[in-house]
Amino acid sequence: MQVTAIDKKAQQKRAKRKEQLLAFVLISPYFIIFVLFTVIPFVMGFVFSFMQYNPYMPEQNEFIGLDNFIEVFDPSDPISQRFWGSFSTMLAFCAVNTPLAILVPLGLAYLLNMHPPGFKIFRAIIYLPCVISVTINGIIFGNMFAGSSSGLINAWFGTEIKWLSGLPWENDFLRWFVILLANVWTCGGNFVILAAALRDVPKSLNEACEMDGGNRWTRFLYVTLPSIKPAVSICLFNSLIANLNLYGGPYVLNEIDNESLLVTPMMFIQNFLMGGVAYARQTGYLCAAAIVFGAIVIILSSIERKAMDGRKKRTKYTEEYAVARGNSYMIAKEEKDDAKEA
Amino acid sequence: MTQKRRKTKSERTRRKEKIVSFVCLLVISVIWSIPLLYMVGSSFKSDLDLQLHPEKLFPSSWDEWTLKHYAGFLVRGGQVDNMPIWMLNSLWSTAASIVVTVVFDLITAYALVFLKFKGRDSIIRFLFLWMAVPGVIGTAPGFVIFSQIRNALDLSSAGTYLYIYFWLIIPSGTGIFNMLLMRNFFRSIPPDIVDSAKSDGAGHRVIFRRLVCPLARSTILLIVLFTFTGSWNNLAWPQLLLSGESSYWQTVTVALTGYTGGASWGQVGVSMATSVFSLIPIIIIFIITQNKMIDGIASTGLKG
Amino acid sequence: MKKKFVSVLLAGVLSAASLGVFAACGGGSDGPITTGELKKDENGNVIFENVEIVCNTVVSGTDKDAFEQIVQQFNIEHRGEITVHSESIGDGTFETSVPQRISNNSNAPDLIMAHQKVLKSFENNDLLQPFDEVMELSGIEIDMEDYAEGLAQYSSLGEGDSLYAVPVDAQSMIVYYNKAKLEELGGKLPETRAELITLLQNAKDEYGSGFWPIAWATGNDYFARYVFPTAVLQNGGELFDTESLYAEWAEGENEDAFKDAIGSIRELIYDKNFAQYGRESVLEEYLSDNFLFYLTLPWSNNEHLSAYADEKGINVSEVSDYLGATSLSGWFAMDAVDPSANVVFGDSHFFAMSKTVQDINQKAAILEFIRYFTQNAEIGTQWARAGHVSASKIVSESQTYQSDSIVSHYFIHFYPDLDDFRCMGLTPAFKEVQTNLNALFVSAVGKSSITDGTISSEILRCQEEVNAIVDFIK
Repeated sequence: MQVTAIDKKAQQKRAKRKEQLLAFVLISPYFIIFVLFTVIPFVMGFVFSFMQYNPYMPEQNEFIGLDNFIEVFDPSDPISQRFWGSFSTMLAFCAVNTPLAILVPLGLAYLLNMHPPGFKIFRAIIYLPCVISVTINGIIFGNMFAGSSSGLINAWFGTEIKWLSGLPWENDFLRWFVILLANVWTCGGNFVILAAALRDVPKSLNEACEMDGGNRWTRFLYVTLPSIKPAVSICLFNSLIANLNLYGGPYVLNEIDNESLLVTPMMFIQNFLMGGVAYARQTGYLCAAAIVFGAIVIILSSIERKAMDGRKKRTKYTEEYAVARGNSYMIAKEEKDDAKEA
Repeated sequence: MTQKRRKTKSERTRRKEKIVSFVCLLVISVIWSIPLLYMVGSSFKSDLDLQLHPEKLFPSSWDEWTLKHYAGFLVRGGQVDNMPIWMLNSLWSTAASIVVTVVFDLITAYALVFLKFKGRDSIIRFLFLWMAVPGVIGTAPGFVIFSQIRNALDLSSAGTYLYIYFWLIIPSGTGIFNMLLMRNFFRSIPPDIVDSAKSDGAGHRVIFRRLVCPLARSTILLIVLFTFTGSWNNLAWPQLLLSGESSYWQTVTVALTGYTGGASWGQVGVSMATSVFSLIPIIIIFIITQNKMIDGIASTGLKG
Repeated sequence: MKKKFVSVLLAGVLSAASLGVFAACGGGSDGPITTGELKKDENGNVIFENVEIVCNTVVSGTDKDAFEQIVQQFNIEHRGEITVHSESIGDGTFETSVPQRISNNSNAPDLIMAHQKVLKSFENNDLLQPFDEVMELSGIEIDMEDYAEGLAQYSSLGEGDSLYAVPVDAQSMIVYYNKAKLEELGGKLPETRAELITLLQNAKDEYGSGFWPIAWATGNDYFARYVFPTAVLQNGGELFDTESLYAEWAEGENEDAFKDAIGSIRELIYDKNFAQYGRESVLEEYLSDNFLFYLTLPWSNNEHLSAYADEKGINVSEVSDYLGATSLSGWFAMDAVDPSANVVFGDSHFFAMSKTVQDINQKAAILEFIRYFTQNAEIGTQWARAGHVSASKIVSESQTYQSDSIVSHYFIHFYPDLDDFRCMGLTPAFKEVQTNLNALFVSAVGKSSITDGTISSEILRCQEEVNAIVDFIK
């Protein structure tokens, strides 16, 4: 029986269609639920941003096009000023926190990679805080750093430093310090990723560098760092998104002295959108602000990903080099051992 | 005759490294655990002790240890309060969330990685983009849809309970982060293994069940931990849905907020006690899945 | 296949968008309806048969138990007639979940008990209905003359003569005084600020300059929330203009009032060293009798009494031999003859009816429960013992209330004249007013030395913050 070319093509086409059908079936449960429960409410909110919308007084709702967005970008509107002000706070915090969120876990992972006894216990202890919810975090740190002498830290050092109070840009630094501390404490996720990445750095590369006369520092710079670049990239992405959306930490770590409740954009949005019925009339404007915020986050994170993908660092220490070096090293070692035994 | 061989230079540095890192990590771990110890210690301190001796991590003397804060939400009138019911609510809804999430993630990630179809890449990009979307916009509209369907359905009491929990469990299966985690892992499986299975005539179902799933064990454990933590700690949405309903229907996290509001006397003790209590299940899961899971993060975190 | 997928996706998004528009524009809100009929007996009293109502209260924590006890008692006394189901919603979610449930009619409560300050926003968004109609039909009357003036003035929520909300209770900072020390200093409680200062100076002379006659914790949230507005109001100040809703703190006479208030507190702390700034808890002083006046919150009254009794090794009932009760009335008024010199500012709980209630029997049942809660002397006393002094004159003038040991020794003196009690009033920007009063307090009283110019600019700054939000949400 002859299998014609046409038959074969038809068969391939059928197989392909079957595969696509199967794929469709497999991804539909997830996507149906996703669309129903996540996308549709979001789209509704998206529509609200083009309206003067009050959920409690539907007869007052009307379509006003881009007015809300114009108001968000209006520099003379005091509320919008607050919105954009929160952006600068958040970016400043990001700039400080993100490096810390990578360097501290990197250092810890580096130490861990030296395999001290009991390293599994250390690993567990360092990782543990990141499964604790933000609210509990806030309760713990809030009470530890309470302003007067009844906070743990103040009681220990005999001071009365008001950690968590402060007007914006005055004593606020202390409060941001505490928030940073709380954030670093929960860096467990990044820590573990980096620890594993460090473990996977090929030993051969390290030895090759060592043979070239490299000390610990050059080894770190030219071998370790490039090898763990994918892991660092992931950690960076995660930390960036987390910081841009920063809400829980500053919200809980707040004391009465502090009026700068609206310090990150997410807090700004949450405070008014979920703040109760008094703000209901401005739902449209708030949705517009949230959309603008989301757009900016998307832009920032796309920039970040492009930046990490684009760079291809060339170093001397690639796999091939190590193999070549390693070979010569083995030969040299054998000669040495032979000489010893002789 | 064999003499004791002198340690090579790298062996000596390695031993020095171990000692140095041990000391450093020890110090760091002690400092790292202080907040947790503080939380546990304060939960056992009496109210007076908390206000008069804030510098002590643990109660000042043996008789100052008190279970009063725990008793506050565990016991009422000599009987065990609603905590077992709340625990049950939390446990079953969390377990259901885990099952839903894992199943969804497995099959969807499988399709996204191993099956070719048009639009696959745009879906992935769409998911990545969606991570940046502020979900807070959807909360109120989501509640509107919830209420409209609920009013249309006119359910019995048991039906309403299931309806509310349906809205808590099912949407939790659509977390993007977990999906991408699973996809990352699937992508890291060497394609030769799959190809050789295919050329042996294995259909997708067999590949899925016999090949991919067993390999994904550590990732699944990872997702189990994340989903457990997320679902157990979830406060805003369950609080909204369960607000005003019978208090028997609440989850642990929602119920415990009822004990920490209002009065300023004894606030610290009660909040610490409720925090410790709600952490216990998470710590248990953490201990069980710990080793496997951390290795899991390691391998999936790398690619892509 | 791609086309099909994309078109499916598009269709989904379009339908979602149209759903959104529909939900947003369509379905106008219907006003409250009344259905059903009331049954009355020969005296004209309503007969209830198995009526069920759901109450959502903002009370939580230890007060919740006291509230639920009262509800239980009501249910027992009205078995077969009315059953009240009460759920306690925490402060944080009350303002978000209750409005959403009422407006979507999804497990909406029939009766709510909320802080007075949020009720104006509820009313602005059409979530409540007045009691007028049901009072007329059922004959169950609630007369605002029977309630404290300062609170009853808000019962119409700004809607003319209609009755929308019924005041229940009041809470503000409470003051204990040390009886032994007061005896040694002449035994007379101060009635004006001048007398207060003299007394405190005598105390410092008597007990040494290291003695702080007033023990207060300014680091506690509620301190700034209750004491600072009290000081402002006692000096004739106004928190916001009732017509325009704008804060006018830096305008003319109002600015003087604010400055007087700030000055009066600063004088006590920095000039005369009668009290400290910045403590978060002054429990030590309280337990060691190292105070003349001690300020705290009413709902922890019982714990304070027990702690004191334990410390001294006496019975709780004997504590009143050592500790007396007084109020902040007149403490901060620079001008003792100002009509508002005795005002005390705090929070208050009110009852209101949700617009979703339709059955007239349920509405009447709600009235009955409100009357029970606010006009039954026993119940009012019980509630007062939990820290919430009654806003109803029927209760506060009753024998039961006045002879109860806790009430008579403490609460009656904490709030001497209920007609002088004030709360936030009718503004949707209550949260911002509160926050900015806090901020003003911290910036103006927090520093040990400050110029008048700085105080003025701080007042102006905080005022502008409030007004920005008022513009936003008006």
